[in-house]
Amino acid sequence: MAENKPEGGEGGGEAGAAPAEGEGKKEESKKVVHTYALVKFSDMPEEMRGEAVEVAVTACEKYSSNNEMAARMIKESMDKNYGPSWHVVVGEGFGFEISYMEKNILYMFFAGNTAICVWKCI
Amino acid sequence: MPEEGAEGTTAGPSSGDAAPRTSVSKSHKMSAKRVPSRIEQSVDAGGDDIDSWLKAKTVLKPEDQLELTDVELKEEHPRVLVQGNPQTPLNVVEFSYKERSYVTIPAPPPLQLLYELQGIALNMYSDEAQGVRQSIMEDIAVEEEEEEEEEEEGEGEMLPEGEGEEGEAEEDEEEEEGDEGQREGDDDEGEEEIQKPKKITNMFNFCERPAQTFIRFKRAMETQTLPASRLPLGDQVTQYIIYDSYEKDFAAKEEEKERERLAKERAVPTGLATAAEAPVLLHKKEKKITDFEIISKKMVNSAKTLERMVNQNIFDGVSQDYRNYEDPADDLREKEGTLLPLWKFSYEKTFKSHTVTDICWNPKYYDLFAVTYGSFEFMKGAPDGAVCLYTLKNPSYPDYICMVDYVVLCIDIHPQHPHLFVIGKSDGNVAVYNVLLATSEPQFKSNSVKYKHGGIVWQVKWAADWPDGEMVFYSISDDGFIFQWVITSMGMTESKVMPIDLDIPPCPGPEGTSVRLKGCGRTMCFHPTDPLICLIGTEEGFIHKCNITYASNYLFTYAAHRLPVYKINFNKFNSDIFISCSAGWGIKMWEDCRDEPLFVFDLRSPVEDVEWAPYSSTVFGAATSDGRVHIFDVNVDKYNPICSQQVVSKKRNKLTKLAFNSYLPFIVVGDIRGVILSLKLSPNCRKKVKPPKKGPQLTNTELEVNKLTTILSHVREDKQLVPPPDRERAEEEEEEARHHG
Repeated sequence: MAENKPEGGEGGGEAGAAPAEGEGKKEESKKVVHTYALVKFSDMPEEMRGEAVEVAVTACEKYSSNNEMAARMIKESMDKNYGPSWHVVVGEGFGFEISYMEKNILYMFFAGNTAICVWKCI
Repeated sequence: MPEEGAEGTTAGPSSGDAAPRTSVSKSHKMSAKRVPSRIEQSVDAGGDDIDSWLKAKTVLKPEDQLELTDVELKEEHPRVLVQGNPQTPLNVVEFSYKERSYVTIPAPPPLQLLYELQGIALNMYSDEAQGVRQSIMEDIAVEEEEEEEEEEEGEGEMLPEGEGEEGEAEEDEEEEEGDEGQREGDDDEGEEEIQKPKKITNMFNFCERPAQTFIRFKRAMETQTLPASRLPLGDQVTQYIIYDSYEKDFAAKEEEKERERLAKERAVPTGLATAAEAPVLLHKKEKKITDFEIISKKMVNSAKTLERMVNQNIFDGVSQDYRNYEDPADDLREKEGTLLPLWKFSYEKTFKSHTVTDICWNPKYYDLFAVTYGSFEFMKGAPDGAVCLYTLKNPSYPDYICMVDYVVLCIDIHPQHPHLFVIGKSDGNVAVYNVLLATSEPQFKSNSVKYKHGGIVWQVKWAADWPDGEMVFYSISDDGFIFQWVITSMGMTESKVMPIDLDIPPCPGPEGTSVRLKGCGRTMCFHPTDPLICLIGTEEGFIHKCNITYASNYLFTYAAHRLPVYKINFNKFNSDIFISCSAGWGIKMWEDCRDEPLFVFDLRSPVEDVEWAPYSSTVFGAATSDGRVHIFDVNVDKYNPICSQQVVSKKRNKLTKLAFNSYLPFIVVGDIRGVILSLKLSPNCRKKVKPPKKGPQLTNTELEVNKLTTILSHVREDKQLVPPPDRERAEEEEEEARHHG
């Protein structure tokens, strides 16, 4: 629950600019931007989900301004831990329509401005 | 025709136009054979004239027909059809150059060829067909290869494969057409084709090209697995979506925390809340309740009121009966009483499908009673149970309903906290419910893995609260143990109080061990005045008196019945007297620490339940499975019931439970069809002792105690009678005495 202006917002480029303004307005009223990891959707087993969230959080903290590197790191560590063919999307604004292997998806928000979708599909 | 003309001229004009032909034909014949008789012919012709008006018959004869005499004509020639063909040539010979002589060749077969058409169809499995096919295939293959080469050369690598394939397909079609053309051609000269197959292949070093396919590996079905199932997911992320979901999640978390805090605050007091405290808690809760809930609560309240009013109108007759009707026949009869059926209680979900397994009156509200539903047939059907609270004010619908996942077999309402009741289930679990809570979940329940009975829980009983206010109850089960359950502010804890050991030597077990057999507990009953003493009835028919603090041995054991003891009940006035009933048709009345029963009654049917009346020390009621209710008053009749009445159908129904209301003069009985019937006791069944006119004034209780004591003093006899001394022996002794004297 740290209060901070998301740094990733600048890295996001064009897409990130407009929402950043909106958040600025909201900050005036509430002044709280939550940065904890919020799992939006996941059907992984409890243990696996915990680990995946940790991996994602670590990667996003390490490469807070480089989503591509973060995605690469998540993918590589997930491949190593749970076998290959993991796919990762890290970004601030995107849409997706995927098919994933059951029990192998994690869709979460982190740092108040980043969405991470990790899934496995061969 | 020149002859005719000539004949006509010769025959003369006399011959008519009508008969020239006959004459001609005849004359013609005659001219051939009998030329000389020309005159006769003319005469004949004259004779013919007579018949000339008749239509002439034309007889056509071959020229070379034999002329036969009449005799010859009349000769009969029989004709016989024979098998052989007369046309067949016999003795056909042929010149053999080899042998340099004629040799006979066998006669041709008896076959007449009428029509012959050369077919074009071939049996596809015949060698000929194979030859033709193969030659065609080879042709095609050669052509294809050539064309492919051409294409590759012509179009080069840049062309997409698709087009190439299309081209091939087209060519294939063309080839097929060509084939058809060929075949048509073949049709005409099929024989030629067949006669000269192109190439005879070496069948030992040959593999058909069209048959070359992948060799599939064989895999066992068992090792095949389904592919991992896939699911689709789609979403869209923007900054404001992320922000919104964070806000929502945070709000939910805050709410959760708040709720937990509230629950923690509430958990301690509700566990031990009495009825008096409850409204305060409810009031606290109401603060959180929204307007809608308040309105709906009001609605429920008014609906309940309305329901009661409707019920009051519907069951007005029954209520009047209950209040005013006293059977006038009782005045005329000496002893016998009757039972008047009043309300019937049933719940639609358990009606007919479930059995009433226990009935318990609420100790505080005497119009309220709890009923458990389940089944005694554990092998089939009715896997679930229910607990319902009924009030006499509303016979049409239960006041409180709680569906339970297993068969519920027993219930006990806490005597001091009437909103708490404990139930025992067929899976060995016990659960404590709080009526004040809005949920239908148990407030406390046994851990279904570790701490539970290994068998059906047959009876649960609240015991007196411990000095520090913790509530205690005991449960008995057919796994041979009695458990003690203590409800503290932390929750419910259990301890195994005592095993119910059988009084027989240990049985030899496997590998030389000896196994102590356990009795199956069926019922238990606490001593009314001494809370440590309890009686245990077992399936084996024993009644053990034991102290629950000293579990090691029994204080006393009654060999009461030969079949399971269904119920034990202490007398309400004299705590030394108790009664027991059994599946073995019997009811027995016992005195503390006395081997033999004081009274034995045989009801000729398994006695499902027995209970002392709360108003009299000598009256008790029993329900038998043949659907009868028996009321005994040992003060009036020591051998027979003063009332024995069939209340449900004997064939289709059975009674299971009976309970006296503690204030009002009626009983309720439950049956196996899920119906509870209330029966009013007629005046004869609830006779009270008249206070003696003389002597000191005694209270009602004392009178009742005295009444029972009087009765028992008549019954209590020394069973071991001392035989009077033999007379002879007495005389002998006298003589001896005299001798000595």
